[in-house]
Amino acid sequence: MKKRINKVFFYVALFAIAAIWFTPILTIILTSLKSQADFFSGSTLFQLPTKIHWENFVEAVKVGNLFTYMRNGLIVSFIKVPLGILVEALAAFAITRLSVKYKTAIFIYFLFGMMLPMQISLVPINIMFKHLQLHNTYLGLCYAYIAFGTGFGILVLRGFFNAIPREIDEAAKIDGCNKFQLLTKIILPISKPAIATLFIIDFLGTWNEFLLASVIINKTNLKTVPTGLMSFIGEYTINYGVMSAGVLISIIPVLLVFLFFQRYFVEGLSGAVKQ
Amino acid sequence: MKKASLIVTILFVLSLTLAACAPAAPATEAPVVATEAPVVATDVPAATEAPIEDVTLTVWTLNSRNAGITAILDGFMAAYPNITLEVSYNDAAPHRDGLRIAATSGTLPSIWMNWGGTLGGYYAQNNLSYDLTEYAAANNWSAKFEQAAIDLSTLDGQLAGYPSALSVVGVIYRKDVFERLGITIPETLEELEAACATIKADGLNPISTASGADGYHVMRIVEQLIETYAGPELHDAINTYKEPFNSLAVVQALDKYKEFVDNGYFNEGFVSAGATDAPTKLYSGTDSVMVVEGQWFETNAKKAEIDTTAFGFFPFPSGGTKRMSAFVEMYQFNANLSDAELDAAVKFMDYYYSKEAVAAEPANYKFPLPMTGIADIPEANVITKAMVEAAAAGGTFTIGDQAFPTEVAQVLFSVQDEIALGTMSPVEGAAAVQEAIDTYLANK
Amino acid sequence: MKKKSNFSDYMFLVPAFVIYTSIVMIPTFYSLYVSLFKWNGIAPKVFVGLKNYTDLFFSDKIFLIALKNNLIWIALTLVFTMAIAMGLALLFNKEFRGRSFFRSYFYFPYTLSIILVAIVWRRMYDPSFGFINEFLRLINLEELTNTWTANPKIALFCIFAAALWQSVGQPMILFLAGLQTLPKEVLEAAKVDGASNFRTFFSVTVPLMKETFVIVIATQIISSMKVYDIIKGMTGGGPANSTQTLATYMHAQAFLYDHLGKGTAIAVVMLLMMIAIVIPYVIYTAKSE
Repeated sequence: MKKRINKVFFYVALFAIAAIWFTPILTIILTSLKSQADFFSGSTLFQLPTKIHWENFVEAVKVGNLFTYMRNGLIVSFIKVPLGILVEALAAFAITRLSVKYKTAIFIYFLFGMMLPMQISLVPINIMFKHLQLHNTYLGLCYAYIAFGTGFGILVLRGFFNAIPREIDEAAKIDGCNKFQLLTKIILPISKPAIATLFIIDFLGTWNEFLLASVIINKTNLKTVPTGLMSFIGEYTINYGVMSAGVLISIIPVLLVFLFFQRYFVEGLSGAVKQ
Repeated sequence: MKKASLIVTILFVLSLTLAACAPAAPATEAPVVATEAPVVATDVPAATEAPIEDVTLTVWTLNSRNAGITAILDGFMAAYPNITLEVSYNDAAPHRDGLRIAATSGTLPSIWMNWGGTLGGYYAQNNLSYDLTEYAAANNWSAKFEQAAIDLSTLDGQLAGYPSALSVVGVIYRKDVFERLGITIPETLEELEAACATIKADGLNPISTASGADGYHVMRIVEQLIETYAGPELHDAINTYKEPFNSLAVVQALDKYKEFVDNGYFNEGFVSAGATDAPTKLYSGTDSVMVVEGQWFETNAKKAEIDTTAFGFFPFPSGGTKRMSAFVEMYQFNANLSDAELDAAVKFMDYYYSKEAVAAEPANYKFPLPMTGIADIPEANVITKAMVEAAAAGGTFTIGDQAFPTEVAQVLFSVQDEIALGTMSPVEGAAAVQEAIDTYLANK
Repeated sequence: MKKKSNFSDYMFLVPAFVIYTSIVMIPTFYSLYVSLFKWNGIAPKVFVGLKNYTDLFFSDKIFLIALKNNLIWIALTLVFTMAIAMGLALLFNKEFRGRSFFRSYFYFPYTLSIILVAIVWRRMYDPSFGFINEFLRLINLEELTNTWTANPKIALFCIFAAALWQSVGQPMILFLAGLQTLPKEVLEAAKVDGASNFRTFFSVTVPLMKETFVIVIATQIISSMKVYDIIKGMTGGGPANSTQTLATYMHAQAFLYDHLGKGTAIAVVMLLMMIAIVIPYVIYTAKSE
């Protein structure tokens, strides 16, 4: 009987928190269905509009060129994130399990990149890219993204690699694995939750990144999603309805990535240890 | 175990494939500003034949201009096949920041949209924008543009850009509320105050303003109060540093501003409201009744499907000729443009603002146009017409946040907030702004 | 049994090292260099040595406000954001129906662009038609209504509430991932020994999740120092500079006032503070292995 009551309490508490959480989300969804006139007619946030304005979504895509920007975002994200994770995994592996000297110092060196405020980096990177003629190239953009992302990636992967018991390394060595195989056949599979997390966070970060993209990419047909969303902010007005609709459309890939990868938050270490 | 690495590999391969087929620009893309040397160096800027060589121009402008430029782009490139345009759009703040970054790194585009005053003046001062004074003289621009537009676009002694918009600011009000409460259009500051009191007693909010992310909206009111107490000559002298900011007139203006705040004549919490929301508070008719806004109010209200016959306009009752605050927008040209590129740039601007283009899509243009003889203000834009006529009759002064450099304007904004919140007195506020002005002048 | 350093081991570090150094080192030295000058970005630089720094600390009221605000923000983050993220992670670690949905639900705000979040919350805080005050009026708690972000005393905290709502998704999934690495046998052993849930959590779970905590704490401190977008979008640093942070003030100096020297000096101060706070913590946790 106690279990039942606990369960009820649990769900009640969960729904209560969820309700508080929900208000801004509801605002965005309702706003995306309202026209400008609805929005300014003095109706409160909760009133449903008299007519549902699906055309907000159409306009977001058409005027905001949203599909082009989303396609560009997908290209950039799907190049940067796997490559970045690969580079970071190699480095994190080195500073946790190989015989590299000054492990902590090297780690701190990479951590530094997380601390640099991006706004200050814009001018020197712009000058550098001008000389290297890397403006308006995804090569340049992804390279810069990977560079700035190594700090966080190594931080996360190092943490998770450290949590894996060393006995596994010994067992693998006995089995005849070399270092590279240790990484790819043993460590990486065990670190699925970590890699999944990193993929989710990194993908989202790349998808929503604005500052560096705005400096490196100037050609309209190469721009990424955040730029597209900005186009609804006029000089003297903000088209709230279309902007909300645009945001809701643009986060679909991100939510899909999350849904796909969050299943890895169930496997535990215990399974691998038994091997 | 294998699944994860398989997925990673698939994604890797997929991303490489996408990268291979992506229409992304090749790595050898030309730098931002076209740098071909002109084959024919024309000494006569007013070339009437199309230049022989191919020219590529990069244009940076605001998102709000997207519709207008897209509408004429195809026609322009068809008319001038040797000119290629690459246009990039951005929101106001990133646009401004982007220009700064480009200025420091030497990657400014061929043409960029900018505001007048100290914003555009930075580029003129630092020789980043093309000085069009000679070109204008050679091509009779004094007949082509309204004198006010030319004057406001002359920064640091140079004609810093091709004027593209002329804006004036006045008081927009709800006619129905005024009628219902029996209020007549205020001709003096006292009458305005009385009107506010009446509206407040009725339960509505007299004036809608905002000082959230930026204090320029409140500044429109404060500068009109300064105009009222200082009069035109002293106001202009203050704006050009010939007279100190902490003159008695300014302190009186700030005192009056504080009175307005304390009497509740502004919307509650205006100190953190958004400037773009301020005019929209008049739309419902049950919220605010007056707003100090520019003529764009009318076109924006129309776009939001609000009936604009509900609104009227009157110039702020600052006494005398009731001068209105005004500012320009312009398109600045890169100082490094070759003669051929300059020619192409002017051709583009002329085409963008040609009679035919404006007549085809008047909704894409901000009236009044700074060019003469291109188009009259559309009949439907009643309020715009009234505002322009009032400005022509009564005269204008340069809007505060363009008259002063940004660092001084920011101090003024924060002073406005502090006076409203009661943490600073008007005397202290004026002194703080004066200090900022002194520091700025000393550092120049 | 100390292993000899193998050269091939260093090869694993090469890709990350090359890419990182080629991009990140240049802005770092650029900032250090420019911060010693007075410069508007175009005109010739004027060498002023450490004057930018002394000006900031001794004669710049706004800088000190910004510094204070960042320290407050760090404290708020370490207490509230982490506690709530951890609580949600523990909640969503258990199996129950609809778990995937709820995980996504609480993660969802994190996917939104911060500009939209700022706009939505700013409207919610509006004293006349915003949701918060309207809701309070609805449930007869009119006395609690406030001007929120227009009130310099609480504006920063109002913004923090919005930032918390938006950002809790990231530490939540980091903690979730960390919980997956806990060996179930140890947790079960503790339960069998009779430890309550609370004690289990603090004496067993937390120490075992040390690595995850390092990740989350380091990340949160760094992002608290750099917080910019949400402040800019909701109050722009106002009212009356009460919500200025180092990043917003740095942006103003460098981009609005054309004082690149001062702007980069603020960036260097931010960097030094982050180094001073995060590095000792990292070294400490790395040593106790």
